[in-house]
Amino acid sequence: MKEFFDRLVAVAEAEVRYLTREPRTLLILLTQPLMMLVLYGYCVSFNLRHLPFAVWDQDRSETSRQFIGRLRSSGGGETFTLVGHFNDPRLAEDLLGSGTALFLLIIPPGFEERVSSGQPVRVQALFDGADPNTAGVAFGYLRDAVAAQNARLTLGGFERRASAATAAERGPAIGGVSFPTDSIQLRWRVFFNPSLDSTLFFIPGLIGVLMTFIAASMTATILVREKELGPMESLLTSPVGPAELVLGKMAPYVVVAGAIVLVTVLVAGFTFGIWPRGSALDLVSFSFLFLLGMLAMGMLISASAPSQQLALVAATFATLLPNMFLTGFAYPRSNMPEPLQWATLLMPGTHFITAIRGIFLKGVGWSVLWPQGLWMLLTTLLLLAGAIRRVGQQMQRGLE
Amino acid sequence: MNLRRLISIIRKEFRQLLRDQESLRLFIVAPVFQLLMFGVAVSTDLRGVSLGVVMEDPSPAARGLVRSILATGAFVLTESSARPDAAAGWLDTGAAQVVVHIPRGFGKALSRGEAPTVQVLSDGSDSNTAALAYQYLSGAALSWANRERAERFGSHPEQAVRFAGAPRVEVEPRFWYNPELRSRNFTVPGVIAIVLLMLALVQTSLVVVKERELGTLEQLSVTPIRGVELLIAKTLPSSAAALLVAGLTVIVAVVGFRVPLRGSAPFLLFSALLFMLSTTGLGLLVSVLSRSQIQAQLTSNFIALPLVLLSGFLFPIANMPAWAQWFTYLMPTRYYIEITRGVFLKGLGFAALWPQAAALAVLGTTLYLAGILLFRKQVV
Repeated sequence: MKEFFDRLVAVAEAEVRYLTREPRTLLILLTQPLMMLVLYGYCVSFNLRHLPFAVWDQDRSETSRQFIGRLRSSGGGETFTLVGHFNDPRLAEDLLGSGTALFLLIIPPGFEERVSSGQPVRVQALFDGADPNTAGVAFGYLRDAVAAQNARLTLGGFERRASAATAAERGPAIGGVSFPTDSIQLRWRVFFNPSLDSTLFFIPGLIGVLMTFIAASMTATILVREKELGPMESLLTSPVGPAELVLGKMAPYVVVAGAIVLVTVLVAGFTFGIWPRGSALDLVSFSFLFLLGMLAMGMLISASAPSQQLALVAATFATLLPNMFLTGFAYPRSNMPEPLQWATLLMPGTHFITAIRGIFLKGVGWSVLWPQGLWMLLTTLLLLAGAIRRVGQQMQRGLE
Repeated sequence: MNLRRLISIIRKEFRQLLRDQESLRLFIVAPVFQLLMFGVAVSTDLRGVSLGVVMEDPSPAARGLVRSILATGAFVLTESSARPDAAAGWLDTGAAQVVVHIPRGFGKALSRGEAPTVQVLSDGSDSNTAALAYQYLSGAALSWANRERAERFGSHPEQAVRFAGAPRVEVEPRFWYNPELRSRNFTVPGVIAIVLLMLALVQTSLVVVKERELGTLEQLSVTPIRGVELLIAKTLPSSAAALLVAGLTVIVAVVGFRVPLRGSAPFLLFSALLFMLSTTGLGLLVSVLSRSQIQAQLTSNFIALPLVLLSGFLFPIANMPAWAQWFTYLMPTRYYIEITRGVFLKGLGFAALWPQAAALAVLGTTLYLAGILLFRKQVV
C-alpha cells in the first residue's frame, strides 16, 4: 500500500512539473474562470429593463398623454423607455426592423372620449417578436402596467360617481384599496431569490461549468500527450500501474480545480454578495464528488483519443457543451423534449447543478439532496473504474 | 504575389484537407451537434414548469382557476395537497417550481362579489423561469376572472351595474416577424453564425502552429513561397468548407426547423464571406501567437466565449451594462447575427443591413492583415 502511494505521488509530481513549465497555458486556465465570472455575473442577464417603445398617438389628448406618461414612469421609470413618436404606418416597419423600438403603441382617435364616458377602448401594441422571450416578457410588463392604470381609471371613475352612488355600491375594499375590475387578486411571493436576480441563478452553476472546463481542457489531453510525445513508453517499463497512473495524474488537477472553485466562491461572495446558504461541508463534498467524476471522464477520453487535437474536441463535445447547455445551467430542462429530459438525468452535471443551487440558494444539504449525491457517487465510481480499466488495456497493449 | 504559386499551394491544402478523414468528420459532426443542441434543446419557450396546488377550498370556482392555469400549456401539475404547510417542502426539493395557494372560502368570497386573494409562491432560483411563469399564470388568472365575471353577470344582472361604468384600456398585442413567438426562429439563425465561428476559428488557429510544431515552417521559409501566399492558401480550404457547411445549416434551418427565410439568401452568403474574413483573421492571429497546438486550441476556446456570449446570440445585448455593450461592438459575431436574424425573420436586405456588413468588412480586414503582418515579422 505504501508503494502504491509512493508511485502515485511520483506521477503527480511529474504532472505538476509539466504544468508549471507552461506558464501561459496555466495563465489561460486561471484567467478563464475570472472571465466567465465577469461575463455571467455582469453581462449576461435575462432581466429586462428600459424596453424601448415608440408611440403613434392618434388622439393627441390630455388623457392619452397621461396614459403614455404613466407607462413611462411605471416600475420607477426603469421598465420602459420612450424613444419617439411617429405618425406614419410606413415608419412602423423601420422602427421595429432596425430594432430602434421593441414595441409600438397605437392609441386610436377618440381615446379620451371613450375613457371619460366609461367605454372600453383598445390600444394596439405591435411587438418585434424576433426574440420571443423578450417580446413575451415585455408584453407581460405592458399588460401589468396597463392593468394598474385601469385600476386607477376605475377608481377615478368611481370617485367621480361616488357623489351619485351610495357607498354600498362601490367595489369591496381589500387592504384599503379596491380593484373592482379584477375579481381575484394574485399575491406573488418569490422564494430563494426574491429580487429575481439572474446573477444568483448563474454563479452557483458556473462552479460546475468551470470544473468541467478544467477536466475537458486539461485532463483530456494528458495521456494522449504522453503517447504523442513518447514518454508513454518509458512509463510502461516503470512499475507504475493503471490505478496509480490515473489517480496520480488527476491529483494536481484536483488541487488546481479546487483553487479555482475557492476563488470563484470568494469572488462571488465579495463582489456579488452571493454566499452559500447551506453548509460549507456540503458544498465541498458535492463539488469534490463531481470534480472526481469529470476528471475521470477526461482521463477516459484521453486514454481513448488518437491525438491531442481530437481529445480536446471530443472533450468539448462530450463534457463542456452539454454541461453548459443541457444540464439546466442556463436553460431550464423542463423546456426540452421529454426523451432528452430523461437523457439529461443520466448526466452527473444535471444533478450537480440541482445540488449546488440547492446549497447556495435554498440552504439545503445532504438530507434533501441525497438522491442527487447518490447518483453522482455512482457515476463517478463508474467513470473512475472505466478510466482505470481503459488505461490498463492501453498499457497491456503497449507492452505486447 | 505570384498567382501560379498561390494556386499550387491552394491545391495542396485542399488535397490535405480531403485526405484528413478525422478532421472532415469533425466538420460534419460539430455543426450537426450544435444545430441539434441549440435548435432542439435550448429553448426559452415556457413549457413543463412543475406546478403545485394547495387547495384549501374545494369549490368548482377554485378547480376552474387551476384548470385554466393548466390550459396555458406552460405548467404540469406535479403536486397537490389540502394542507398549506406542504408547499415549502415542494419548493425545497424542487418537486414544484410554482405553488398556487387557493385559500379557504375562495368560492364563497367570489360569489359574494369580493375579490379573494390567491397566493403564488415561486422558486426564484431560476429567475427567468420564475418571471415568465408568473406572466403566464397572471395572464391565465386574469382571463379566467374576466370569464367568470361575465358568467356571473349573466345570472345576476343586478351586479353588472356596478361594473358597467368601469372604463378599461385593453392592450391588443401583435407580434411581428415571429407571430407564434417560437424561440427556435430566434436561436437557429444565430446558430449559423456560431457554426461558422467555431469551424473557422478552430481550424485556422491550427494552421501555422501545426507547421511550426512539425518543424516544416522552416522548410517553407526557404522556398520561394511568400508569407501572404502561404496564409491565403492555408485559410482558403477551411473557409470554403465552413461556408459549405453554413449553406447546409441554412437548408436545415429552413427545411428541418421551418424557420422562415424572408430576405435574400445571396446577401446572407455574401455577408457570410465578410464574416469569414474576421473569423479566419482571428484564427490566424491565434495560430501565429501560439507555441503549441494545445495552446492554440485553449486560446481559441478562450476567445470563443466572449464572442458567443457578447454577440446577442443567447442573451439580449440591450440587457447588458453599458461598458459590456461597448465591447459587443468589437465582436464580429454581433454583426453577423444581426444580419442572419434580419434576413431570416425580418426580410431585410443590404439597404437596411449595410452598416453591419461594413463593420464586418472593416473588422475582418483589420484582423486578417494583422495576422499576416505578425506572421511575416516572425518568419522573415
